[in-house]
Amino acid sequence: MTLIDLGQFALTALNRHRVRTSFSLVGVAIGVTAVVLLTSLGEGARRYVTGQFASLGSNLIVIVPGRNETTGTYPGVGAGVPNDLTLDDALALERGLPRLRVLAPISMGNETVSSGNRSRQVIVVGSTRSFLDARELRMARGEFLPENEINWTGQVAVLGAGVADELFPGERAVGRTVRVGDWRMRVIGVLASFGTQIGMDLDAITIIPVATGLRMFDRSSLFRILVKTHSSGDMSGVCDRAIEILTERHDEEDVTCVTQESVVSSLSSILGVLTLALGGIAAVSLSVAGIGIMNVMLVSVSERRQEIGLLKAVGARSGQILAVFLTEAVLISVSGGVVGLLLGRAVVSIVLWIFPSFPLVVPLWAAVAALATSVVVGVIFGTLPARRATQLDPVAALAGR
Amino acid sequence: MIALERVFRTYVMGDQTLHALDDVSERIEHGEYVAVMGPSGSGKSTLLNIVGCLDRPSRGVYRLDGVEVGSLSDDALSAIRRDKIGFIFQTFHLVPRLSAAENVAFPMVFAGVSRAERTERVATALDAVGLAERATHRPSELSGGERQRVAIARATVMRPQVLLADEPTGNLDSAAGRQVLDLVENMNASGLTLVVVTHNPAVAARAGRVLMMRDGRIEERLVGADLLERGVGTASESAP
Repeated sequence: MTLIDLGQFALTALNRHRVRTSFSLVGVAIGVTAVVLLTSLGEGARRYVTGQFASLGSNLIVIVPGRNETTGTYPGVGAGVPNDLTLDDALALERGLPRLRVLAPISMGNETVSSGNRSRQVIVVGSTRSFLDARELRMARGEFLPENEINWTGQVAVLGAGVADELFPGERAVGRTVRVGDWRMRVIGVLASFGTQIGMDLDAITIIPVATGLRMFDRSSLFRILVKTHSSGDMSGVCDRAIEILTERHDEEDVTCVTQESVVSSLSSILGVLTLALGGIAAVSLSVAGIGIMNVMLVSVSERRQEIGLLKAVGARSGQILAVFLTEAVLISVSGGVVGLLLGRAVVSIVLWIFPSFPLVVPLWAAVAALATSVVVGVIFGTLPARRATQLDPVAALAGR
Repeated sequence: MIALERVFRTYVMGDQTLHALDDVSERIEHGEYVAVMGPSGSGKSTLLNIVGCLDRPSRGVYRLDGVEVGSLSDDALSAIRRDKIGFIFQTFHLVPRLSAAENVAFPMVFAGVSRAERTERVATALDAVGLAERATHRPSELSGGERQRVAIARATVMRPQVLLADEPTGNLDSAAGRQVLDLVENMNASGLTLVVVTHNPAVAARAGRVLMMRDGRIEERLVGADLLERGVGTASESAP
């Protein structure tokens, strides 16, 4: 008995009960569609987020105060409290790091920005002119922070596009005065509208000089330091050098240096797991579909007792009878899988056609896995009915009992 | 050669034991034509099922061509049914969704006969039962006699040694029944061992030997021709 024989025979059997065959097929199709849609959401999210990070450039490193490793000592002892990451540290890095292109120290706080009776709670970022380059920002109007000493505490602010719109609707913001916390600041520029970039709504921030920020927020430590190099090779080497410089200055290793690459890869793996979980949840619906197949096959086996008896009478071996019924189950589940895959792909295409920017990508592995799962579903849930067929007593089966 | 030695077949139903076959011994030689007669429940179908390897004796020995069948595995029994035995049933047991030709090819599919050879043997077998023209018809488009002839073609397409027929004319009118009997008797004449289970004396009378069964035992062994003389039943009323 060849595979073609098996397939043909199964098709004639399925063809006879088109309605119930198609119902159980639709069950599988819905399951596979769910897998495709949920995983493409997850995959879309993963690509969006990692893409956002990747857009910062692979030549970026970020230095954060504190070590994110366990130190082996009790909290509060030894390395428990990190030294401040200071502006002097930033200057030392600026002098010592190889291939350095820009270095942007950042202080950060949450303040109310107001003008007249309009006010808004915003994230206030203290930095230097280098921030413009480090984050690849563009100006809509006016100027960014001027080139100046790192500890310049000038009272100037650059507003995000959204903040400017809210405080000065329909008016020119540049040249006006705003109140940031308790400080009066002169608006020197407005950022071009940017949208959200890695969790920070750049339209809703206000940028001030870094030293001004430290005083305003009453902090002694920088929030972090962004470093961009001229080329993107061996970024972890640059990180090592940065840690070396700072360890020498602090007498202990109390900073963390993250390469953009490592952030992207760890985020990617986290979101990958999320996608897998979503796919797993959707796969539950596949097992429900499997029970549908089992049901249909059990009905089929009991309806076709005489045929099974005949199979035995003409000398079909148990293995062949098993193969006959498994083939039917797998045919149902695989066609359901293919239909589901096409349906899922179609839905994704339609969504992308309506919302082109929606992050939705059908991951190849999910398509393959969904198909493979549908085969497995057919085999698993087809086995019980098929075994029941092989176990029928031939005499009783021929008599329809 | 079929050899049954002190064969029992018992069914346990609750606390009752039913002796479908009760100490049956019988030899059927190659090329014989044997009819098995008896009232319902006399064990004639059980005998046929055991001879056809669809069932096993509860006790006793059944040898087919010298091979003790009772001790064989299920798959070995399947192989014997496939290669040595053809079945014909009262209710034909054609697969309704398959054409006549596909029904005839059915055993060959599971025997692993190549596609080309199948086509050839199906054509020959259908021709032999006079249904070459009806090859593409479904069973529902065939008359009862035609269906049974398709079943005969299916039963003989694997070139078995033994043809077992359980009430082959039971569902047919007398003309169709006669045609069917003529067919299987012709095959018997060319060397096929033929065992027919029937309750119709006119059918049984055509056989070389008749086994009369009652309560699971072979009560009497007759020569077919004697049956009519003895006037068992009324042959004229139930002509095949």
